[in-house]
Amino acid sequence: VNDPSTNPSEAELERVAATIRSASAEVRAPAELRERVDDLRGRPSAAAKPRPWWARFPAVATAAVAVAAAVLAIVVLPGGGEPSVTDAAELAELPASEPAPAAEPDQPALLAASFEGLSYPDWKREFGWRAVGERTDELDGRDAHTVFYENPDGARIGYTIVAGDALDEPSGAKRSVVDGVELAAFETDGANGVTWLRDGHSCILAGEDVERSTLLELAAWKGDGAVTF
Amino acid sequence: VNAAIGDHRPVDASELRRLDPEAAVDHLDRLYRTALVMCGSRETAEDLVQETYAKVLSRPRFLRRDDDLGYLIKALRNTWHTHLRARGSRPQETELVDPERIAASIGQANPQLSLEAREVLAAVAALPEEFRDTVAAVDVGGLSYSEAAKALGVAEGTIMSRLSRGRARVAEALSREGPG
Repeated sequence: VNDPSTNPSEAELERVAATIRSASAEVRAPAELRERVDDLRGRPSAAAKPRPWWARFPAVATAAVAVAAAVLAIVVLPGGGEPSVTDAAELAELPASEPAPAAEPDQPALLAASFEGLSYPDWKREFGWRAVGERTDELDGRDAHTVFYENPDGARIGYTIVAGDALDEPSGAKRSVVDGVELAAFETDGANGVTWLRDGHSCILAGEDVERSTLLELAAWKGDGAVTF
Repeated sequence: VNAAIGDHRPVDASELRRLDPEAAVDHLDRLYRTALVMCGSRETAEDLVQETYAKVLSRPRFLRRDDDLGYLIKALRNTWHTHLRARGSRPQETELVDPERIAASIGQANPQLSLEAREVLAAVAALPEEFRDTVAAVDVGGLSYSEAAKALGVAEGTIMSRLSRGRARVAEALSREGPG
């Protein structure tokens, strides 16, 4: 194999790096892109833009919004808002608000943390993932409890159980069965996630720096029967 | 719900900090340069950067191990990979692996860019994925070795090795192009 990396000296490589850095520094984001990103941020852009129609005709805009809201309420949300699995997965990125739950003294496969009667697993001994904190949130009127875990590499995941009936799986989720447990894997916002049911409740395991296969293995772990489904 | 344990402070909240949207937007030029060499196409780079910011700014983001720019470059790379998966292709199967075409596309994006700069960036964009992403993160985006390691999810030693080999390939490509 002709590998050119063995040829240039360190000094030559440094010169190449400097050349790349210098060439890169010449590149600026186009003005249109800057304007679009400023709009996303809500920051006023340098170029003055015409006011949108709704700002010029506020009465018409208000009526239009009212009509749209009524249509949405009737057509789209017949039973009120339902949280989505991806909403629950995003809880994995939030900070913990409570300390790490302790290990369950009588059951090494479980933590002394539970929600809706479901105990959270203790993955430390089997997989090296230790619990580091927990938090409770409300998603569209439903309580959701999350326990956070970290592995020795510093990767962080959140295990969320949502109160109430099962949530719909995200569209495009890939179904699989691991150790007899039916799971649906999905991706949201650059993070991997897995959802499955325990006693009719949706459970969601998600994290940014974690392979899907790891999430599937953790989610399906039964801890010699201590983790109930 | 477990009862909250009264006096304890949140365990890892102190390790997390919120991404400052204002500061994130200040990294636009660096993110755009990185996108340009990552995908080798002006139009795609603009779309990727806009999509990345749209995602990142859509709600509060909490960073633990990443610095702002590292987080943004990681999000950019994730967006690019999602884009490729949607197209059913891998990074090296993009339509613009020809350095001359990449240089032309980069030139369209930045007409003021010198010919040499276009060739250099095109040579980076034409690298195999693992080298290209590393050179893009460090030499183009401006991340440190440790920041790049976190952003790309590899060890710091891997970054140094890939960087060295990537730069060597760029040097070889430029020497083939002729003096300068």
